[in-house]
Amino acid sequence: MNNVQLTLVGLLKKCGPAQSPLSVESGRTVMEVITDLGLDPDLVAIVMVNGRQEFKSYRLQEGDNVKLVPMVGGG
Amino acid sequence: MLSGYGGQVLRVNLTDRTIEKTELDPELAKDYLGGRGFAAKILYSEVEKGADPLGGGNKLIVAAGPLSGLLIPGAGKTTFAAKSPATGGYADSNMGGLLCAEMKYAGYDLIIFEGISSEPAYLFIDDDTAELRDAKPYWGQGCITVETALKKELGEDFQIATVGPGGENLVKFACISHDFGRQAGRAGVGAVMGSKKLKAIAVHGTKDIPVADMEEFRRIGREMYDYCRASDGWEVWYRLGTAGVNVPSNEWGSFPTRNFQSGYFEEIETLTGEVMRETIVITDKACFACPCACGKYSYSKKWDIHVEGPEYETTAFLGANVAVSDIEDVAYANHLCDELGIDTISAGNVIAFAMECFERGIITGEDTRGLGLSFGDSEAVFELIEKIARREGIGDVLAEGVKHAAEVFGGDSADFAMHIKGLEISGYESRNAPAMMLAYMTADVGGHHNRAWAITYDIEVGRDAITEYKAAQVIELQHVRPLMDCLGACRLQWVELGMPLDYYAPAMKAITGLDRSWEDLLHISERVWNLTRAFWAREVEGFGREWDYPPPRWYTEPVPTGPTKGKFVAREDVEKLLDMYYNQRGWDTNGIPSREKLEELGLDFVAT
Amino acid sequence: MYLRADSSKCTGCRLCQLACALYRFQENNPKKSCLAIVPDFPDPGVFEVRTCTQCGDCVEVCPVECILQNEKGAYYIDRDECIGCLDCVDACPEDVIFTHADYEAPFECDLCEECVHFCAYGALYIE
Repeated sequence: MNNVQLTLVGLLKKCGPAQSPLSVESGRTVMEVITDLGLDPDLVAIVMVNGRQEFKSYRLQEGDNVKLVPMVGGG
Repeated sequence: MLSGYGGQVLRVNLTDRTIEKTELDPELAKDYLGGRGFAAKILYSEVEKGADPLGGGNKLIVAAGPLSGLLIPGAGKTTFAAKSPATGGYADSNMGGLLCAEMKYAGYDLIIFEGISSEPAYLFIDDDTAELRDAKPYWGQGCITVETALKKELGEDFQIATVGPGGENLVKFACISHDFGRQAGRAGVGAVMGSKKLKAIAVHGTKDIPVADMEEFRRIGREMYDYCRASDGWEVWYRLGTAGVNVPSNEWGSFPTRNFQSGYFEEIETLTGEVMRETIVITDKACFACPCACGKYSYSKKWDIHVEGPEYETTAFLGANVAVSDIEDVAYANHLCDELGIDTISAGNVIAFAMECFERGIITGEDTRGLGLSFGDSEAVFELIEKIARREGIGDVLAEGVKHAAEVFGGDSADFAMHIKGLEISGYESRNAPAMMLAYMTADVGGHHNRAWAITYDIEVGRDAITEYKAAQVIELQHVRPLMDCLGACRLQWVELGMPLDYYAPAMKAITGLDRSWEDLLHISERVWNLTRAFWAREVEGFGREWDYPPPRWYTEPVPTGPTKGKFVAREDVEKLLDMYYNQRGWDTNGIPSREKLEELGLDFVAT
Repeated sequence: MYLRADSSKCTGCRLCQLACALYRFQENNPKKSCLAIVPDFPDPGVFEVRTCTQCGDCVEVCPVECILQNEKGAYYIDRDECIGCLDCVDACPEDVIFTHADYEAPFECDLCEECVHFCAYGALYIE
């Protein structure tokens, strides 16, 4: 079921599918979704789930709201 | 009145106890903008060749920029600069908070400290009043303590900058502290301040800062503000601050671990920005005019201390690099460094180096007077921070910096003394990031990332690529980022939130009345870049290519574990990167600016 | 209509004070703003925001009755009539009537709402 909302931020919008936000399946890890979307994991710096930072190993749950944030310029 | 500027320069001779007020030279403002630009020009022109960095011939520059104190996002960055006691070359370090804004409200863009005071003193500024006051009662006290006391004595509205015991004891990585948690941390500017027996600067101002086109300036400032607040990344940056980088840096294998042995700390889970937010952060704290407060002011119940942070760099160095995994222990170590007035980056770098030497048997319990130094031992970290600040026992050696410590400890320790040009490398283990490594090699204060954060380009074109493109991006970043240091504002609204750089040239035009393009401003930044290079060439005997090399660990030792296992940047690739970089910069093969380049940049006065 | 503050959201950025002085006096000068930001550091490490609550205490004490109300209901000091006694400054329970060496008359918030726009953190709002 595609019941997780996923938003791509900044330059990730150009790297992923044209539509953002999009719906993805729960039950998969964030890393698996990143790979499915054809994104370079290196480019996805910060993963926010429901407003909190998570690791890419986080397994998505029904109703989760995910934001993938790139690291443009570091510190 | 010079639009966009306070309009006056204070020249404080600490030996004679005289203060001279002059008008800011419009030509200096036009050609060097402010902040780091002023610093580079004055240090090159006024500090005599061969001056002892801790002697009366060195000058401590404190500079605001034309954006400082105005309604422009992040308009609170103050530059401190001097000839570095750590490296012998150019040093500037900038600091967030509110100091440069207050300087401009008092009418000053620039303060130049000369000579050495016979007694501890502090500079008191209240609009037109500028005088040296007795700081003996404060000498020996910590930065946070002194800032609290001075605000109590003079008024909460005074902005205070101070050194602690670290600066007083001439620790080579002593910092200058302000606003309860912001520092000018790198290259020993705090030691220069301490060497002059200058304990603090206290500023209060009530004047206006004139701008050329008020309507246009307000329109642009409002747009910049609105952009920041509406940006996609605002929420993330506000929630985590720089600590949001802890996780990605670790995933990239760039989180320095156990003295840069690797770039991946297995115990990252307890050191994330999220853990910080949920356990210790109590207040989001902003610098002047910033709409995206990244300061995470924290309280540790475990240690009953308050501290701003820990920031990314501090968590890298007083966490992963010394293998400490308790965020509250990192916070406590941070607090110690802040109060004692030493840079957390260099401190964590040097302490980790000592730990590796101890584990390898290069130094023993005899050298440490019985103190065991193992990675992961947070008590040892706390004790070493104190010993360093007070120059006690082995602290006296470590206080000289990692390059010197390696010379003292001997063995093959110079191979893993992680410095460039004598400045401890900051928080990005770069064996899988050649562009970042080049950025570190060529930064003009030594091993520091603030000039160019180039991992983006290693990711973009492939980690292993050794290309002209990477060199070109490092060069561009070295013009853009330090330009912000000339303007007196923060770069992170652009870096982290993607606020377009397009705003800055029109903003500067509205503020100063001078019609300059973005390229014109970058040209000034390139001028300053070449000037600081010329300063190094003049001050450091035999300066050249050799000084740009990274430590042997980075070009001989493959990373042993983690996501970057096996990676290093071979010496021949280091040479290639330097060749491409020098060539693109118009420098000779030894890395010295050519006569043509100097003339192109209006640096005819630089001797060859 | 009142300008309210949630101090727990204040970050000490001073954008409100910058915006206020710009709008009110066309100056880049937070010392000419009409709200107070009071830091309490290092411990507890928080900011307090004080705004005019339109309590009217200043009106009561003014000996020349020169504190009037504008169309938004905000009290303001008529600078032409003010005699500079500063009794209103002392009387203000929030300490948000301000003075500056450039002016004889003190000044207070007139509910222009610029600060609300420029507080990125939602610490200021109109009720």
